[in-house]
Amino acid sequence: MKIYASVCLLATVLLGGCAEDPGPLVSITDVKILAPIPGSGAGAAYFNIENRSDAAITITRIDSPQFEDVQMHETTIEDGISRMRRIQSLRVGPSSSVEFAPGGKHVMLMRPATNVAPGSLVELEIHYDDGLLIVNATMQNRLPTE
Amino acid sequence: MAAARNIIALTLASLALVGVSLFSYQHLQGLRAQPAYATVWPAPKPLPDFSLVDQTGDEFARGSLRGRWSLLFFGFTHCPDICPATLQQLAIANRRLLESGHEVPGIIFVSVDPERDSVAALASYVSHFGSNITGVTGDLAELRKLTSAAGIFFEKSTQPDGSYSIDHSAVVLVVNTDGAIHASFNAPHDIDHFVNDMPILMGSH
Repeated sequence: MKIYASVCLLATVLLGGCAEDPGPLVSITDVKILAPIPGSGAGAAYFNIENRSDAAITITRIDSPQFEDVQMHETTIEDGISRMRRIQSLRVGPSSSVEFAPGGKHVMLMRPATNVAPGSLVELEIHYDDGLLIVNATMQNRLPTE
Repeated sequence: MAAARNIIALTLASLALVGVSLFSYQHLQGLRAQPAYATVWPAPKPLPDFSLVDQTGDEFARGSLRGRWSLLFFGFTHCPDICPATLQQLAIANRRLLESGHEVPGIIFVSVDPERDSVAALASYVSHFGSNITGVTGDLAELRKLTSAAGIFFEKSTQPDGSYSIDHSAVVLVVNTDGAIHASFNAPHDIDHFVNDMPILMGSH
């Protein structure tokens, strides 16, 4: 009971609420972290963020202890031209989700702060409004064996 | 007499059947010969003279594209998303072509960011995608000769924090064995599109 209360308190602080169902109102799933390709200096992170609350949230910043420079970007292809632009903040509407996926929104991971390599555990700290979500995933090599 | 007429009728019917079969076969062959996804250019477009370098420091010029089919993609190594994804798709497509016994085109990655993409950086970068990929960089003016002729757009885009990205065409160009642009694949790209169309394109020239 004490453990459940602690989890609930933590969820309240970090995730903005704890209803009867202790499932978080804001959650991150399908995290994929791709290692920087040698010579490029930029890795990428993808995930799905779901906001099950009845109020919009805004992602204001993403940090990682393993990278000094972490930025949200979006790639668009219009009239055959690929353009990549930085996203300063990202709104996730009530009861909706936003996908970070190849060819669209993505997190750029630059300037590795530690000796990260494929197989390393990478932490993402996703700041939104007054909340914080922390997720971990193993960094993968870019070229899969399919 | 009736038997002779029957023989003649049967012979004519057989000939007609053979004729229809041949026509249908040729028609189907004609249909099969069309790529499903690539756009074949009305006439192959020869490339002009240009002088760039590959990832080993050797000259990469118009003549480097002769003698083998090639897929050209223009991008930059600091692009974390569409550039590696496209190179990955091309590398996987080539592996599938090889496994199914087809001819494999060369993959040429032309950097549109010569300011940051040195020969050394390109060497590390392209080797990640396999040994069959050539990285090309060089002087901006020489690069423009190639991109202008090929209809490739690229432009530096400075971000609010002072860093920059490069807006660029996402097309993959198909260059024939004469070093002329034969066809193009428009984005978004799909591995199956390359696997399906490249044997048709390479067999058509």
